[in-house]
Amino acid sequence: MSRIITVGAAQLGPIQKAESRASVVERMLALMAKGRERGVELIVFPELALTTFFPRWMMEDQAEVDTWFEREMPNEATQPLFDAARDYGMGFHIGYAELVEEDGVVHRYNTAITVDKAGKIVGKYRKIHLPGHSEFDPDRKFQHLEKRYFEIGNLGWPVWRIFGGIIGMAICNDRRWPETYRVMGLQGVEMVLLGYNTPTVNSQSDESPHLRMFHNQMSMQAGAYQNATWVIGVAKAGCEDDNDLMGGSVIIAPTGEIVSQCRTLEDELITADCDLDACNFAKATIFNFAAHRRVEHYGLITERTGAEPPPEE
Amino acid sequence: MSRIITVGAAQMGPIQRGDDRKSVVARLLALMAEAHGKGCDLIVYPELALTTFFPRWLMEDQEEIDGWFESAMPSNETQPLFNAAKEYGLGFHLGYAELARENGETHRYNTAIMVDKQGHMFAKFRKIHIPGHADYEPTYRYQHLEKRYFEVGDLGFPVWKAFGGHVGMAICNDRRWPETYRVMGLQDVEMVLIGYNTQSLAQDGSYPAHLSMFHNHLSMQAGAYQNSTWVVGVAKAGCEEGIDMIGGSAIIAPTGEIAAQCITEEDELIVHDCDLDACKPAKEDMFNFAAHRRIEHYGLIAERTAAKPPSD
Repeated sequence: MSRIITVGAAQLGPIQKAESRASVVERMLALMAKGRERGVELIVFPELALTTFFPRWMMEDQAEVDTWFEREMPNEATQPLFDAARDYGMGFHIGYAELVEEDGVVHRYNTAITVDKAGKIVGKYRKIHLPGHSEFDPDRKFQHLEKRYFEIGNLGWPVWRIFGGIIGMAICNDRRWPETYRVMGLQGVEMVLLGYNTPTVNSQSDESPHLRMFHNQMSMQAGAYQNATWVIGVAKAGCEDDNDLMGGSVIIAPTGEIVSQCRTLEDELITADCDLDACNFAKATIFNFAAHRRVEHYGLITERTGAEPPPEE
Repeated sequence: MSRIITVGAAQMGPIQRGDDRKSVVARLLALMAEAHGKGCDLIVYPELALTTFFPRWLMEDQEEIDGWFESAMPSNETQPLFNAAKEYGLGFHLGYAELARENGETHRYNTAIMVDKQGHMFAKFRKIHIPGHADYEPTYRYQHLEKRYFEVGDLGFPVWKAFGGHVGMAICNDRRWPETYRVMGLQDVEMVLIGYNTQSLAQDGSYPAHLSMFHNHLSMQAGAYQNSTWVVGVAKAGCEEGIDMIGGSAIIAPTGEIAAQCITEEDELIVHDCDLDACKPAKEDMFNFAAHRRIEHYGLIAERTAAKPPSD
């Protein structure tokens, strides 16, 4: 048996501050056209794929902040992506900054959506693990103000029956937290789509760049293996306004093995035939949750937020 | 600042069915002498370190099964380890099959203990993620009957203030489950001691052999990184009674990097100066749990045991 989704991981090179959304969408359409030649059914774009990674700057003027956000999806700039999806019969995943008014209150989220082959939005996720800080930090080499500009996602980690399988989403820093994958694993997830913008260097320490790439890939590989799911991790990479972002976009099998990886820091498409039935073996044996998980011993994970040292003897 | 524990990971080569505990303890003592010579504060032995990995066989006779268990710790055979610990001022971690009589009932656990530099046993862990199966599987090339011979541990994943830091334990298959490390991470763990007996080949040949080692290291490295803790993983390795087991014992830094690794499938000691203060940067930044964890979205992890697909 096999249930194959041909997936394209569409890494984006840098988007400079001055680059328009129309120009970025042109680049994405070129990647979709290339994906079509390779028989791609689902193309995965990164986090905040329509603009530069704006949380690296401190902005006080809310009107300026809001220029980085989308008030509608699709909108005029992004409608061509939806049209191409329908024309090609190709689903897509994209991350963007979402400004939404719900019950008369304005909210801002770091959001991702999945669109089906008919060009219809079938899933939305709002980032839960917001990294960084909320106030200007003069001690950092650059700012990482996601905690200032975004609220914590309020949709949990749902999974959807789409593309012939069970698919979920996460965004960037979510990938470092095993809880992310496990909550989806407990819903039988077979493929996790996630985009990221990750600085090549640490803003606060001299941590080696190679370690940061190691952590990027290891977190996703462990999440894949420990839940027997495909993971598609897609970067926005390269030098944006003098700030370097790592690449290393990957398609990861349910064994945790990397089956395809980007080599550049530019717009680059990698593809793989992802067999969802490759999840079945480990889900039935070593990670048969029903047979092996012991929730009576996991209480702290959901009861306690911060770490507390053991009591003194 | 630095808070260094010099740790020896004492991998063991195979123990055959006919090897008695006395001969095994002699090997453990030789590793302990070597560790003492290298300035270790703590030596870590593998899971079920006193016997061959007996769950690979089906046994029906309870008396025969109980022959693989320890009903006292220390016992006559293991007392020399405790004596050497005291003599050397060297703590140790040891895994063994525990036959416990508690409140008039007999229990059998896959257990590990920590012993301090005075030879005093101060900590016990009983394996929680028991792998394998309870009944004979005729199509498998070997059995893995841990679910038959052991009960699920009843002590949780505690962390102790020991050796100048916060130290916890897990056993073998526990290392594949991120919950294991996270429960200890939430108790500010700085070092996790893990022994394992892991077969080189799949029971039914269903995946390539090299993945056993990859998964072994991946799980421990991710657990270390995601909780910013040292992980010391120690194998019983080599060919026991015709069944091959992986080595690859490793001392893993809080960055997830392998700082030292065994290269044989025999008795082999690797030593590393583990600075517990190296846990601090990530505990205060990337994995500052208080700042970043969102338990309101983690509910399923402790509520739901099995995977349940979304409705159609």
